[in-house]
Amino acid sequence: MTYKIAEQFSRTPGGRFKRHGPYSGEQFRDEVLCDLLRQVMEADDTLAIVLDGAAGYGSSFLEEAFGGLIRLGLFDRDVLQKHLELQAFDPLYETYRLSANRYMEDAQPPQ
Amino acid sequence: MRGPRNTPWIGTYTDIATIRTITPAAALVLAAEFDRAHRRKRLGRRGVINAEDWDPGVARTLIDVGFLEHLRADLPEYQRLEPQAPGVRMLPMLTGDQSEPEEVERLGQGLQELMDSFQGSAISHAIYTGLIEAMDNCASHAYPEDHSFRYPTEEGRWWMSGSVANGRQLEVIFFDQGATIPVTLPRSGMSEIAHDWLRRMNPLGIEAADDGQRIQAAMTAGRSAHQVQGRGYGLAQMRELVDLAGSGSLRILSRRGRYIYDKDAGERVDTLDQSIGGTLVHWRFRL
Repeated sequence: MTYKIAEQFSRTPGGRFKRHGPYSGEQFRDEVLCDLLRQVMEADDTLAIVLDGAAGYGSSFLEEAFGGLIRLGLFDRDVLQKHLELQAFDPLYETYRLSANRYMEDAQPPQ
Repeated sequence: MRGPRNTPWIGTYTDIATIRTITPAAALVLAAEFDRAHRRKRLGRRGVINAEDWDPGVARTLIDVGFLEHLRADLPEYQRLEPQAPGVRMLPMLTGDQSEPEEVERLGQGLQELMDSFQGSAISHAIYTGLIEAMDNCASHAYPEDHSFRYPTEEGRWWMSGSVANGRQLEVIFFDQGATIPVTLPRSGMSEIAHDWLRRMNPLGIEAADDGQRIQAAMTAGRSAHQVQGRGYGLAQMRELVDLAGSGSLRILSRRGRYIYDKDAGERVDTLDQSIGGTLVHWRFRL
């Protein structure tokens, strides 16, 4: 399964929390990402999130959307490693892909 | 209030005529201050009594940034003038109080009108990312509820603008009148905690002595006002954007601190004599 953020969510991603404004990382995680992950887990499939085409991604958006999956205890790290893949085809977006992966690596689940 | 013979009295007066030159960043800060007062006190447009004495270049820059919206004057004689510096055009100020992607897009469209090659460039990505992150930082950190502000503020309020010089040098400026990075960033490590203790003992002397270093410390990924996991990447990302764009610099002024990162020259940190009254984030890029 492939999901293109710029085409299917917003070409202009916002900040961290819903209360901060539209198209937040929290909104993307809660209203899109979690559901898609559950679907691919059930189907034993992989979810490819394509970052290309957006105007840009703040670290707050990426950390809340992706780091938040682990930090909030929504999904285990090994589940994400198996079922989630971030993709960037244009070199401009590679830095965002690397950052998002780093935020997931740094995230610690709740104690 | 009126004086004898019903002549109007002037309550406060800002003498723009004393300004001989003004940068886009300074123009934004000045316009933001008038905008804040206008919003907070619901002031009407201010009268102008000596526009003929204004430096034409300064007037042109202030007109471009939108300063006229707060004045009871159209100043037509200045609107026909060329900008202060040849080839420099400044965009009208935008303001908001949230993370507002649409406003960042508006600024980008304005820059595209001044610089053909802007949209789709690495610089346009850097600017979008930097501004949306600056807005989010403002919403998250800049106006803490438990901070005592010297002047009435509006929670979350930011101002931004941009300018293009000769079609090749681009500046983007973001400003808030919040509590500032040196105030909101918690101290860590023995040296910083010791400094904080000294500050409490001698507030006048030590209060802002290391504001520049405080901004630099905030650049460390993971350092955040909230000290919560997953926070503190924003300022470091703003600096990385200069590298992403391939050229240019980042300047951050916060309270009295000044932090500069230049792609070619590296970092520079110092503490100034005066506070800027908030936090200014200023990118310069060269195409």
